[in-house]
Amino acid sequence: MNPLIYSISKKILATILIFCIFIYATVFICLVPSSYTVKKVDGKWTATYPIKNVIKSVNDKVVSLSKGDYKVTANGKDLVELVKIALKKSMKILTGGLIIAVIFGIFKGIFDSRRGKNRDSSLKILLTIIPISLPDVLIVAMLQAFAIWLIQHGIRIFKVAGAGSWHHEILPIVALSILPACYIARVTAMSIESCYDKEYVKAAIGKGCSSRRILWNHVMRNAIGIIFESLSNITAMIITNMMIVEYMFSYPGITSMLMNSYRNYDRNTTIVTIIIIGIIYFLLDLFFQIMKKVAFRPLKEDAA
Amino acid sequence: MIKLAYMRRLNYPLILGSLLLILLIITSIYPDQLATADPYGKQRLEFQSDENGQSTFVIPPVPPGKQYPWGTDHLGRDVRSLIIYGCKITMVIAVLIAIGRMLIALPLAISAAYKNRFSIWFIKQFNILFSAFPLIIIVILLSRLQLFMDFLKDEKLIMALLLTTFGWSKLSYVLMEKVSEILNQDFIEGEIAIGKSRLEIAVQNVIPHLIPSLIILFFLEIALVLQTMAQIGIFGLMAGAGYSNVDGDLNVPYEFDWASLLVFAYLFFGTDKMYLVIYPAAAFAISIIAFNLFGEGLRIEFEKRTSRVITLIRRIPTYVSPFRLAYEIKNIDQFRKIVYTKIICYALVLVIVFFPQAPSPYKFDAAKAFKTIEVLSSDTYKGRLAGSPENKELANYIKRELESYGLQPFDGSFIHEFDIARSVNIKGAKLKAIDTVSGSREFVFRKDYFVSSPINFEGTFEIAKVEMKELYDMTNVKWEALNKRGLNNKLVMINISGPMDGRYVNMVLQNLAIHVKSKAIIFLGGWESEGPMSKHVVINKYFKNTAIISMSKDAGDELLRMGKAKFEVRVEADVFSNTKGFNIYGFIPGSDKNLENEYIVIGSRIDYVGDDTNIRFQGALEAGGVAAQLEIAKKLSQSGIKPKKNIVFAFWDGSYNEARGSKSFVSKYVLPGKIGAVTYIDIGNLAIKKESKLLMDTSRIFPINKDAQEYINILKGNARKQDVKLVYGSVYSTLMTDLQSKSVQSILINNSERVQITNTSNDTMDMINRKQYKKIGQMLLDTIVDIARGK
Repeated sequence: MNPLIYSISKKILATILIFCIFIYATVFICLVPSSYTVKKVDGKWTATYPIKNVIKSVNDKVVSLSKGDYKVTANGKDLVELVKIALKKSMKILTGGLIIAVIFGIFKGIFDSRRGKNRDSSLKILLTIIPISLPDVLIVAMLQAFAIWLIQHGIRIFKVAGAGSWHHEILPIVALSILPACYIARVTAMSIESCYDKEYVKAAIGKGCSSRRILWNHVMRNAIGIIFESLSNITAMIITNMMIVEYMFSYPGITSMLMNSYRNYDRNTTIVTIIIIGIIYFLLDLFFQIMKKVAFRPLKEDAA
Repeated sequence: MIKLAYMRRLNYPLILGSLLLILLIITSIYPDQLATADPYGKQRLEFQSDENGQSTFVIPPVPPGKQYPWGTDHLGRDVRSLIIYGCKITMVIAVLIAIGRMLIALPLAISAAYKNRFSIWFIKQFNILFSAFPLIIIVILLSRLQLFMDFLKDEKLIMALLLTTFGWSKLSYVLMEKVSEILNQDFIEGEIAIGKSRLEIAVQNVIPHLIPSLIILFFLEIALVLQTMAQIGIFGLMAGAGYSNVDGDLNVPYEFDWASLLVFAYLFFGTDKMYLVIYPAAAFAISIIAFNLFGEGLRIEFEKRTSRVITLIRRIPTYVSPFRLAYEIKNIDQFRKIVYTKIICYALVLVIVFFPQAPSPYKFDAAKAFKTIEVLSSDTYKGRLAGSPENKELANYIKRELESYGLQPFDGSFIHEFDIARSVNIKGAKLKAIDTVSGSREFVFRKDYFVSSPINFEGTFEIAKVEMKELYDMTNVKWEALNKRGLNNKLVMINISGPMDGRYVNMVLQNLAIHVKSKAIIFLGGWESEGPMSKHVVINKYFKNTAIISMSKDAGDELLRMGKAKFEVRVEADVFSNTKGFNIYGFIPGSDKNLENEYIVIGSRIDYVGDDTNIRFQGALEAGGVAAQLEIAKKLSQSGIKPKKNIVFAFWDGSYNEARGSKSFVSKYVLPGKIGAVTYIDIGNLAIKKESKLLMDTSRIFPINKDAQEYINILKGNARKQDVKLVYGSVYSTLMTDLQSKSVQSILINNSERVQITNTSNDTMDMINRKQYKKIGQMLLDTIVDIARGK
């Protein structure tokens, strides 16, 4: 078999397998009864629910889900429709947040980097580390406090809870973008610095290229690949961040739906929303991988 | 110029990170010195007047201001103190999780770097799977399992276990790359060439070279853990910081962390009370910054060309080895400086560890205290029932003791009488099923059932079952239909086992007693019969003519299986009507005229539940509090110390009755303003065997009350001195219903209640840990002496 086809098929199969495991694990975790425990009865450790029964109910649920038994919530509402609405809202803030994060992060990264200058950067390290150390909870709380302060002073640009207009969406988008932007800035600064150590950059400096030209033509061209590669590392962080943002802003997105369904013991909705969040993760990861391939074109390729 | 260059070369992340870490360590070790208020003290509703005479009504949460710089939470607790006290446990949890992750990640990473296919696959797939599945979702979903609660018993440990188990993969991935880097270096080839095995290379070469990275990653991992803990807290997963029950009482936990402080945050999202989210989140931010900066600072330091960290790390075991020291002493001429330095260091450590404590100025006479406990627990006082003639005798005994110690009477006398409308001791009962299919069956009093209403009666009754659903909707119960079934001459049985609010059950029973007027009601409570029964005397006017019998789960099941049966019922009780209770007060007047209206009251309960016909209820542990208090009163009185404030030693009677001695004290002295301000210290059960912790409940003080805060610190200091494990916790006391007014600040001291022996016949002399009792007695004596001296 062609090694390329073999390699691609292996990757696809591995992804499908891991996704199936993910779905099974999700159903398992959601279906284990909360009163499940192990007790000593007549000197023997006995489970309150035989594990065989739990596994059987998980298998049955997976089969019923594959047959399409996921379309109704516990209180009889159309789950597909609800998920569509929630997903649309989540995607809105996620896309907005990511765009701002990438743009702001790359420019901050360029600013933070030494750009080949031989000076100590520990103060800049402080400026990079401190923002990424802020818990998302604090960022959201501070944004909300700021918005409330504005409202108290008669400026009603932002709304601190709910959805429906752009007034509701600005703060969640900003809150969602800050931490990823700081991470991107850090990675950008580090990759720029590593590129400045390369021989071809030194050669370009030696030939008298302007610093702007070196930055955009020699450094950023190579650094962008590393930046997009690192984005896949922060995908999980973005999803968690989205959970916090939606929860604290009472924004009716997909993660809010998950938390509400969990609180209302609506297992069907919980399972479906977790799987959708997983799909968002895999798609985001895939998107970053593609972006990396698209953005990362070695100079030799161009020369050819 | 040189200075500027030097300044530029400084490792600012490391300096700032170290400073912040030192701050966190100091906060964790010395919260008492840093917090200005008690973490569990509660600002209650009150009117406050400012200097212009304007009054405001203070309702928690109090926003940040002069009194509370960071405000109070919705329970009225000082946020700053909560954060300071929560630092230690937060750091401990975060460090433990990081260590746990390291222990899982490191062997897998080394194995994967050696190209072990399973390890590589496992790390990779685990990483992908649990990246798609956000960690907080897993923790939220799995932490609800009863399994974890049964084995770990604590939400914090459950969180730590789950965060460790599902959060190690990223760290393992990074470590795998680091190990691979080391294995690709030239010197490893050299090691292979000389014939070292893989394990030898891993232990002797890889790990020493990995240590700098491990140290850096360890600190960065702690920062990551703290991030996740903040997220988990916001979703309300942790409830370790205390929660209020339906009565609004705060359940004080032993220890809590910052994540728990965010549990109630959802109540304040999008409101002007955001400071309740911002302050705990900012505490997280500072600690995360500290660990991140420290880790990055170390990275900068280790990556310096001149760094000799690996060499130093490899030398540490040799440097601290006692064999090495012995060799150096042998060759002292060569190693004189090193030997002196090491000896000074070792001597310093020994001095710090074995530094002698200053002895207590007055010795607590434990033998005398035990004699007092023996007297109080003896047959003479028959279980010390309030309102009984024996308690009058007991009051006289305590009075004689106080007189002999040289204490003064309070308000003209030692003994202060108060009215107790009715005092009841249900001392025996009989419940025998006759005419059943399988013959007769007699149930055992206080094992299979208990009786909780005062009535002396005897008779044989038919049983009539009433379904709970007939009574549940109390506004629509068909009483006429029920009475037509002739329930007033029968023994009514209802099955209440199941998750029902106790107070609702009580209301259902009351309605049944009022409308049906049956002789007795048996209710199947569903409680497990394990060990001796706690004796409760419930006196309720609605049950004056109806006996209430509560059956255990097993006995109830048996009863249900019997079908039609007749029952012989007898309830035997001592009832003392229009009787008296006797508080005893010993008084040491204060010397400061400016403080003549301020009092320190030290109290304990003299009464107990009374003996059964066949079972003795000694109440030795309860008597332990009284005995300790008498001993303290004696030593303080004989010491000649002149306290600034008035000190009253109060011995309360009637604490199990509706008319309590403490209630009488408050209505006689506090409410009319005869006494201005009271700091109350309640001494309860002190040293139960198998209980290592002593609880201190400070939730009844105002957080900013300086006196109470000072006394608590003195108490904590003396607990450390006497090696008593004094921890915060919830203490229940009936007296607290009375001692809640604004002018009374109460501190309660009691054993934790994990061993259920309070109010049971098991509360005997044998249950007292004598060694521990002596230590606690000494701690209390030192504390009262220090307070009296105005330390």
